[in-house]
Amino acid sequence: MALYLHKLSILNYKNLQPQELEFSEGFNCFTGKNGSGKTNLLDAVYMLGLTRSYFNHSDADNVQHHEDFYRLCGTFHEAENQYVTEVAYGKKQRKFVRVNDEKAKKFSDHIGRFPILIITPDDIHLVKGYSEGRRAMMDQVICQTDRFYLEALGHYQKVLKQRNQYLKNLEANADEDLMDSYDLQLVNSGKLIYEKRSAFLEGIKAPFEAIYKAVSEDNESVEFIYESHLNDGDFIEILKNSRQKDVITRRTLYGLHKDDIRFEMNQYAVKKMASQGQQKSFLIALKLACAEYLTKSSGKKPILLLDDIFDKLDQNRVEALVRFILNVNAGQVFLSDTDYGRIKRIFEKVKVPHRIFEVSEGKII
Amino acid sequence: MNFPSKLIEDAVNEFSRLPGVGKKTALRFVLHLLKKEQSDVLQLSDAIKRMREEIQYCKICFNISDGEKCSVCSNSRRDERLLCVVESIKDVINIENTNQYNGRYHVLGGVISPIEGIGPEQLHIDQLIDRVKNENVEEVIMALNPTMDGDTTIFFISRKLAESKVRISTLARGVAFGGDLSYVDEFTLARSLQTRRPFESYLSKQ
Ligand SMILES: [Zn+2]
Repeated sequence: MALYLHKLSILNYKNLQPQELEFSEGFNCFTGKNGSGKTNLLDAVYMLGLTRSYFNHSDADNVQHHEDFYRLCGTFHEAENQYVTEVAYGKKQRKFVRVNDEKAKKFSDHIGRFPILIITPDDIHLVKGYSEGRRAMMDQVICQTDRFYLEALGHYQKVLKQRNQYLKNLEANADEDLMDSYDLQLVNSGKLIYEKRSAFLEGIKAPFEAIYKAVSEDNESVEFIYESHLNDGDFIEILKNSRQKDVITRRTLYGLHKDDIRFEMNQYAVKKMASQGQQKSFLIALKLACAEYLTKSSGKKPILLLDDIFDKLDQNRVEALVRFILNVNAGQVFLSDTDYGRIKRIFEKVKVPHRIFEVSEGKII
Repeated sequence: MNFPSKLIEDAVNEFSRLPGVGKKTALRFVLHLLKKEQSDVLQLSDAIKRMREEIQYCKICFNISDGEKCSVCSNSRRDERLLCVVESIKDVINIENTNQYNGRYHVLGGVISPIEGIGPEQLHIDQLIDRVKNENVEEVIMALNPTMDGDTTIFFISRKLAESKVRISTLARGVAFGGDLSYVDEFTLARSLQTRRPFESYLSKQ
């Protein structure tokens, strides 16, 4: 039996009322008005897997007003095993993650134990917005399958911060030895990051194209291209060549922190050429391809969190999408939608274990 | 917290500025001292006063010292060919307590960290380079914390020492002796593999 979240208890998390929930190992649908707390329920699941909120990285903000801590406790099942997982944070107590009574020494030890993939309406910025979001998407997926990647990423960011600060503080010439030291360290972890990102994008290419064809109703040819300074040569040479410019501009101009993915449709940028509907299909295909990648590289089917992705689609499209997700993923799914009736009708037709919850004012009714 | 006496309040405030001491513990200290003989308490305050006023930093290695030269630097039985570079005095104390090291020290006073405003010039790096040049040092042991800033500092110093031809070594990083491999996290294990040593050298050095 695949990995699934069986029970969840919530205390003081965002706008959610204290409650205990029990889930289906198939589809779990939260329906209700905007602002009712559907998305926060999905976020609670996300927190249990990835030790932070998808939406707000400040834990203090995730504590309910007038309270001083939150606590989430979920029971995951995987084959014969049961994992009681607790994430708690308090204004007076350090945040911790505990699985079956054992505290994780580092949060990074926990990431990847329960792979999770989320799709939200805001993710459209992956297609339309800045490169930062696309790098974050790559990192979120790869980190869940590769602890060395997570380590390398943390190291790279630390070195980069120090290097940039050094450049900023400079009053005279840069010390070449110190610059060499930072450059070599950037290269050390950067090499691994570059390899993993390349392999990841290569790995989702075929599933992405297939899924796009299936979920969209058009026949456009879509693709994406990994844009990295490291495509153009040896990283150490790149850093060396730009050192003078770095000193003048007082920051590190080249490297993996500038990576991007270019999305194309018929060889034009998706953000310019594609319709809203196409962009949405593009996004869903991209994310589902990531889910497949997670399955392949971790050997576990990720828990899918689909936040309001059926918005503005008619019932037939939604039904087709549900069937499709069922076929490609077949792990546990949590979804949110504003239309209770529509969800109910769809799951009368699609035969899959499911539960439908109605959410109002932060509580299941 | 309210106090019946301004004198007690001042003392509590001073104690609570120590690391790991809260107001409650500070009050316990103060009440304890009040119960003691006056001469005992003056002995304590005198020791603190003298410690702060009279302690010096060794002119050679920047270890704490009662005089110009610390007890390690003035001990002629210490091996002058070995020089152990550490971040802080705390590291000197720890290494001394292992009873395994008979060389000398050099206390840097930190590691390079531009974010904290610490550049090479804030540390005792120039003095280290002079020592290697002028003393009889054969090996410099970099006993810095295994952090990114520690690595930066090691690399930087090793570059500055490149001309001197002195041997530079770092502490081994990896699996703790007596540990169980299955409980070692994978990074430590990976690092231990990268820094593996020939078996013969292992036995002969232990
Ligand atoms: Zn000394």
